[in-house]
Amino acid sequence: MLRSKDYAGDAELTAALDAYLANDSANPNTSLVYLNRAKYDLDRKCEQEEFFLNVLHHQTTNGFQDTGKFAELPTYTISVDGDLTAGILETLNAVVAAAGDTITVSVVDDGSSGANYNNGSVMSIGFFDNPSFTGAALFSVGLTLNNNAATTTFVVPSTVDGPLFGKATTQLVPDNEVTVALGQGADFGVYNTTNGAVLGYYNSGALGQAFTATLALNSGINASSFKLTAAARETGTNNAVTVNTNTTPVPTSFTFTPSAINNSLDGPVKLILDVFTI
Amino acid sequence: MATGYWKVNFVLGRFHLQDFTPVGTARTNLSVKITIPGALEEETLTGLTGSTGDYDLSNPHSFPLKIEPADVTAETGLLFRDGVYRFNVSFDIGSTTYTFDERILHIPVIDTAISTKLDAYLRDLCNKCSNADKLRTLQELVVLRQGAQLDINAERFIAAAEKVTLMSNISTGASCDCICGC
Repeated sequence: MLRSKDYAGDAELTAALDAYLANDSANPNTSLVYLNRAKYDLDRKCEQEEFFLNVLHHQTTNGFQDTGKFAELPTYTISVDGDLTAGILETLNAVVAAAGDTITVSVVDDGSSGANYNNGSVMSIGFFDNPSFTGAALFSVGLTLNNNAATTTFVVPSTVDGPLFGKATTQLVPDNEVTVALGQGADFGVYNTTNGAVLGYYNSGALGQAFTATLALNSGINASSFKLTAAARETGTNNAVTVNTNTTPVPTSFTFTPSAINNSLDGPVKLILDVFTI
Repeated sequence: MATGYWKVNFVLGRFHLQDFTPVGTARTNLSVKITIPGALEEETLTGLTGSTGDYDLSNPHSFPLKIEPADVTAETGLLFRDGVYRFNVSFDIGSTTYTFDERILHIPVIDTAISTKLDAYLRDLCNKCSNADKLRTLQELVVLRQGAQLDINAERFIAAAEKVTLMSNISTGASCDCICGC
């Protein structure tokens, strides 16, 4: 009989018990003696008791395992949030995986938003153990964008034993994004928008084409009671073009030509609005 | 290759394999193979789909794959025999192949014998001292069953099959220690 006090720890004891149960020929205590006696219905009382105790010892050491081990329900479901980064679609080559499986993550241009990212931008997808993405990511995968696309692979870690939910951990800003920026004017409540709202994406391949953004007025606003000055400015530079100057009634459509900001425009643009009461 | 998930049940003499892979879209290229106890090679099964109530590749979560003894050429009896069964199921979703390859311990005859022997032992419990042999046989069956399951868990499939053979011998064979009650 195998005794726990003869082994350094549970792992060593379990290995010895497994060797015993497996009829390991190198193990002089093999259960084969008992099994052969049982097979031919020979007196086997001592070996039977030993087999019983060794099996019981295995069960108590490792947790009772009287039922099958294989999962009947998926535990390694894997998914990514459907809207990680503007204009980029994410796909996985598998939705169910086991630890050790190699998973391919691909991202491609959605083909319709017009968002464009600088080549070399690194998109990081964090994988969490919950769909709310709370707590720390279990691990992250980086994708380096080239022409709005990237592919990489990762191996499901052996430490993962449940569903995985992917989400971009750093939101990338498209380099042709146009957002609204509320300026120094006093009456920000004129427009139904928030600071930083995305108005669209200019065509970085055709800067001479006009870009038009629309902004709705808030309910009950009399446009003739206000005047507006607006400018489109490249983020991080002084490159700008004036779109409106003390215009009244305040407009809800803004058009400018990106090339008028800078002929080599290559960054996000803010439409800065200054609204005043007449 | 990804892992497909199936829940294996035994219902009215048939194996029911319920598709739990959490994607409801249509499957293609379904392949179902089984290796029954004592068979030397796995057997590819056909004719498991196409009828009302069958597993539906276009609606995979609706009905289980049903496998009955008549579907398996190697099973010559009317019931599935006791032993270690291997199920090897694969299918495609889009361009991805999902595979489920698992072995289970299926021993309904032995389980019935254990139950019957236990009932017989309990009936005579007031005379416990004279029933030591019955108890010892029961203990032997139960611990062999546990050992067989441990073998399955540790992927010692041949050892598990040997223990099933022993259990069958003790339960129902000519060398049964306690044939009464079997």
